[in-house]
Amino acid sequence: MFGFTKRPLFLIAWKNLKTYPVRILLTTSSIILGVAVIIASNIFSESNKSAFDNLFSGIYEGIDLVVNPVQEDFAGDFAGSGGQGPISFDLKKISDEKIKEIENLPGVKGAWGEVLGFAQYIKIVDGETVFISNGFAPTFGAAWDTSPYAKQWELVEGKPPTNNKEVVMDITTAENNNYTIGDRVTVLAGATPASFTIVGISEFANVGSPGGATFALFEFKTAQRLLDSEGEVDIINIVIENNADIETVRASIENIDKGNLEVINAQEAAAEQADGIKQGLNFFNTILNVFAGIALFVGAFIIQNTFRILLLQRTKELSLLRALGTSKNQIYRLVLSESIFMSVIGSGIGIGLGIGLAVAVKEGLKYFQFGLPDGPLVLTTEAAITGAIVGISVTILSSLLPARKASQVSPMEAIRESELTPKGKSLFKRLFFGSLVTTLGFAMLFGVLYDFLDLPTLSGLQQVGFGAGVIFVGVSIITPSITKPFIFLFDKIYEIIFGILGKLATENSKRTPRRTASTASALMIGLTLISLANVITTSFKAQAESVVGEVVKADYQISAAQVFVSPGIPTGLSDELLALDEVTELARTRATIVGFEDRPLILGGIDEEIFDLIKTDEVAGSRESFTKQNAMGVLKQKAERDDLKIGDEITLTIPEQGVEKYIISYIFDWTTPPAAEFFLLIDNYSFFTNESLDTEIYFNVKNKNDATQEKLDQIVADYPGAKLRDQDGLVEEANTQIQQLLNVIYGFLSISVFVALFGITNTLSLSVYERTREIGLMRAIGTYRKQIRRMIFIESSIISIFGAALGTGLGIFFAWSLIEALKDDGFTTFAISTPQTFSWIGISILAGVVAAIIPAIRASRQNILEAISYE
Amino acid sequence: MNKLIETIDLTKIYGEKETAVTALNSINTEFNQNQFTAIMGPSGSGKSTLLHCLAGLDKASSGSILIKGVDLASLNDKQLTKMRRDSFGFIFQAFNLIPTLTAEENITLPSSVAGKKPDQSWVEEIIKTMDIGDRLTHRPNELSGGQQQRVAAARAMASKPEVIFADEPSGNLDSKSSKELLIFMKSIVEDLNQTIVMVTHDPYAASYAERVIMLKDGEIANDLDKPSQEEIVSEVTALTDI
Ligand SMILES: Nc1ncnc2c1ncn2[C@@H]1O[C@H](COP(=O)(O)OP(=O)(O)O)[C@@H](O)[C@H]1O
Ligand SMILES: [Mg+2]
Repeated sequence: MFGFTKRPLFLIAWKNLKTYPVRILLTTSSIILGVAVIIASNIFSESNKSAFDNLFSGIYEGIDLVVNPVQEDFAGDFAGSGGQGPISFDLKKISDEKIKEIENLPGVKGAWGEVLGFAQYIKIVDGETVFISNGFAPTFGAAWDTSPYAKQWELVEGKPPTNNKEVVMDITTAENNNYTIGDRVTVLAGATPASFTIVGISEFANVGSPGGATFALFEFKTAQRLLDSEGEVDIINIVIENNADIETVRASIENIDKGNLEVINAQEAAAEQADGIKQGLNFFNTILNVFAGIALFVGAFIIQNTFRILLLQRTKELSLLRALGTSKNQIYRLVLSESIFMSVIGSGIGIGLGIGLAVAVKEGLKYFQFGLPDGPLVLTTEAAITGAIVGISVTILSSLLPARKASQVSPMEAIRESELTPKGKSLFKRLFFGSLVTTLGFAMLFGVLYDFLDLPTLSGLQQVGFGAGVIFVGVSIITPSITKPFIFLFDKIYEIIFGILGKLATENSKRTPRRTASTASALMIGLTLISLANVITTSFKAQAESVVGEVVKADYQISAAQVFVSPGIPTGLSDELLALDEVTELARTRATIVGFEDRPLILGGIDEEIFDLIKTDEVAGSRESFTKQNAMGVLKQKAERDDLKIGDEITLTIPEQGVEKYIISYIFDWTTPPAAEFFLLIDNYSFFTNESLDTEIYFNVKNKNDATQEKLDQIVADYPGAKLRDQDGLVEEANTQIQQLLNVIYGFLSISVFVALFGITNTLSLSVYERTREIGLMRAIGTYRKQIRRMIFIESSIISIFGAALGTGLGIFFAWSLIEALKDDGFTTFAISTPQTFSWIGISILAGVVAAIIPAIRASRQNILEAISYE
Repeated sequence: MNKLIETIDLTKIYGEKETAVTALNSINTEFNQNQFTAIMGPSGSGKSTLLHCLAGLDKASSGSILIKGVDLASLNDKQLTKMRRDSFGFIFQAFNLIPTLTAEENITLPSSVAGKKPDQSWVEEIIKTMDIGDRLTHRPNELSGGQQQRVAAARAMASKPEVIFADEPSGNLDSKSSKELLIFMKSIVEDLNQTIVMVTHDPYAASYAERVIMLKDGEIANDLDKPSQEEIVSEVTALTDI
C-alpha cells in the first residue's frame, strides 16, 4: 500500500511550496517589504522611547526634589508648549541666594543650582562660519555642577572649568569634531562670541550627550553671565537625607518663598517628561506606519495577481485533482493552506528584514548626525505580533478570491488541450460601476470647488480628500476596461518605433486587459502619491517665490541664522547698518511674550519703515496714527477672528511692568503672516527698546552692487548668529527646504514603486509562460533572442507607462483640487515641475524594464523544439 | 542539378547511457535545388528529428549538415537564426501562426522581423496562388484549418527562401483542404522553382513529391524517384510488415 496520510491536501500544499521556493519569494515579496517597514518603524520608535526613558532618568539621577520658579501663568503655558524661537522669554528664575537657604533646611543633604541656556560652538572652516550641532538637536550652555551630589555630568578626561576662560565639552561633540583638551574653541552665547580653552571632556549619564544636544559647560559665575542669569539659577536640585520625609522637606522649601517656588518630585518629573517626548515619537511612528500601509496596500494587489497567475499555471494539476475526486471545497482549502504557509514565511522574513532595516536607518541617521539618543535596538513582542498579524491577514485575504476561482476549475481542463490565456469576461459591468463611483467622487470634489454640494460633518478640505479617494477607487475599477483604448493610443507609435515587435507587445498587453490593468494599478498607486507630492510642493515653491518677490520689498533681510539656537540678532547690528551711508531705509522687528486674556501671546515690535519694506494692505486706520503712544496695530486675520475695530481697547499684561491698555489704530494685512498678530512701535516702549535682540531686520540700499554686498558681508560677519539674504537668497532657501522635505517623501513612496515592480515581474513571467509556443515559433522562423528580449521589454514599458500615466494624471488632478480648495487660505499658485514629473515617469519605465529582465531572459532562452512539438 | 543540402554521417542520439535513443543513425544523403522531397516512415522512425536537424532547430550529435557547403555546426545561435530567417521557410503541423497578428502580418512576419520591406508584388502573387486574398485582415482564430495552413505556406514562401521545411503540413486537414495545399506546394516547386522538404506519414501526400525517402529506425530504408502512390503504399506496407 502507498503511504496513507490523514491530510493529503496539506501535504500537497507543503510539497508545492518546498519545490518552488522562488514562487514563495515572488508572491510574498510585497508582504515581506510591508511587514519590514512596520517592524522597522516600530523598532525605531520603541528604541528611541527607551533611550529617552534612560535619558530622563539620567537627568534626574540621584535627585529627589527639583525647585522651579513659579512662572506667570501665561509664560508657564508658553514655555511648556516648547515655544522656543527668536523670542526672548522673560522667564522667571530663582535668586542664587536661595541655594544656601535651602541647604540649611532640616532634611536637606545637598542643593545646587542649574543654569541652562543656548550656547553655540562655532568653528571657522575655509573662512566660513560653521555652527556645530547634531542635526536638529539643540545647542546648550550650562553651569558645571560642583556639588558632590551632582551625578549628571562626569568627566571623562581633564578637569572642571575654574575660570571664565575655560569650558568643558560634551564627549559627542568633541569626538564628532575632533576636539581635545587644550584646544581653543569659540562659543556664541547671548550676543557676542568668545574664545575658551577646553579643559575637560565630559559624558552625560552614560549617553554621551542628552538627546544629541551639544553642551558647553562653564564655571558657575561665567555661566550665569553668559547665559543671561546674573545672580540667578533656573532650577535648584535637591538631595534629601536618608531618614527625611520627602513631603515634609518639599513643603518646607516651598515655605521659604511662598507662591514663588514650586517643588516637584524628580522621579515623577522624569516619567512625565519622557512621556511628553514619547508622544512626539508616536506621531513619527504613525507616519512611518502610513507608508508601510501604502506598501501593503500595493502588496495586496500584487499578491492577488500573483496567486491568480500561479494558479493558472497549475490549472492542469488542480483539474487533475478534481478529476481524481477532490471536491471544490478541498481545492479551496488546498490553495488557502498554501497561502497560509506563504504568509507565515513571508511575515517571518519581513520581521527579519525589518530588524535589518532599523539598523540601517539608525546608522544612516547617525551618519547624518540626526541627534537622537543612543541606545540598543528594541523589538517589542507587540510590534513583532502586529507585523506578523498584518502580514498574514493581508496575504490570506488577498488569496481568497483567487482561491475561489481556482476551486471552480473544471475536471475536464486536465484532459483538454486548452488555450492557456484566460477568457476575459465582459468588462462592461466594470466600466459601468467604475464610472458610477468615479462620478460620485467627482461630484464630491467639484461640489466643494464650485459650491454645489456640501456634505455635512466634513470640512471642505476633507470632502475634497474624500472625493479624491472615491475617484481613485472608481478609476481602479475602470482601469481594465480602458486598458485597450489606452494602448490603442500608442499602438501606432510603437509600431513605427519598434516595428513588428512593438505591434506584438501592444497586442499582448491587450490580450489580458485585466492583468495588464491590475499590474499597472499597483504602480499607479505609487505614482499618484508621488506626483501629488510633487505638484503640491512645486506649487508651494512657486507660491513662495511669488510671495517673496511680492511681499518682501526690501533689498535685504537679516534673520537669526538658526532659529532654535540663537535667540535673535544683537541690536548692535541694526545700529551699525543704520550708520552706513549705503543703507537708505531700515526696519527692525522684535518680539516679547505678554499675557492677553490669561494666555501667553507674542507681541511684535516694529519700526514704522516696515510698511515700506514689506507689502502692506491697509484695511482700516492709518500708519500715522499707529506711531502715537499706546497705539496698536493688528493683523487683519486677527481682527476678523476676534471682531476687533479701530478704537477698541486691548489690555495686555507686560512682564515686570503690569497691566497696560492699548488702542487699536491700524488694521493691516501682510501676506506672509509673521508669528505675531498684535504690533507696537519699538521706539515708543522701553520694554522693546531695552531688548538686546532683533528678530529680523529689513533694509534697502542705495545701490545693490558687489561693493555694497561686500561691505554688508563684512559687517554681518561679526555677528555669527545673523544671516544676510537678498531676495534671491530668500527664495532659494525656501526652495531648498521644500525640496528636502519632498525628497524624504519620495524616499518613502519609492518603496511602493519598488513593490509594484515585483508585480510587473510576475505578470510578465506568466505572459511568457503562456506564450511558450508563440515565442518558440517566432524563434523558429528567425527571430533573434535579442529581439525576443526587446519584445518583453516593450511589453513591460506599456504596463509601466499605463500605470505611470494614470497615476501621474490622477496625482496632478488631486493636487490641483487640493490647491483649489486651499485658495481661500492664500494658496493661489498651481505649478507642475515638468522635469520632475517626466523623471518619475522615466524612472517608472526604467523600473519596468528592470522588472522585465528575468522574464525577458527566460523568454529568449526558451527551447524552440519544445515549443513546436506536441505530444 | 544543384546540391542544396548534404548530410554526412548525420547521427542524433537523445538521452544518455541506458536511456539513450538513436533517432538518426549515420544518414548520408543530399537534397537538390528545385526538388520536392517527402520524408516518410513509421511513427518514431526519426522523420521530425531529421527535419529539425536539417532546419537548424536541433543540433546533430555527430556528423555534419552542409547547407550550400556551409556546416551548420559551425554557426552560432545568431547566425543560425539569421539563416532560418533568410534562407528557410517553415510549415508546421499546427500552431503555425501568431494569434495576435492578422493573416497578412503573419505572412510578412519573417521580413518584418528582419526589418525589411517584403517584396510586394511577390507577396501578392503568392496570396493569389493561395487564394487567401479575402482573408488578409483576419486573425488566425477566424480562419479554417485549411486557410491557416495556406497562410503558413504563404509565409514560408514570402521571403523567397532557399528551401521550405514542412512537418506534416496537411496532418490536421480534411481531405479537400489537404489536397489543395499539396497541389499548391507542388505548383510552387514546378512554377516558381521552390525547394521543399516535407515530412509526412501519408502516402497520398507523399505522392505529390518527386522523391520519397523512407526512414526506419533512424536509417534510410529506401530512396524512391518519382514513385506513384501505389508504389509508395506497397513500400510503406513492406516497411511496416518486416
Ligand atoms: N526530445 C526527445 N527526447 C528523447 N527522445 C526523443 C525526443 N524527440 C524524439 N525522440 C525519440 O526519437 C525517435 C524519433 O522521433 P521523431 O523524430 O519524432 O519520430 P517521427 O517524427 O518519425 O515520429 C523516437 O524514438 C522518439 O521517441
Ligand atoms: Mg513526427
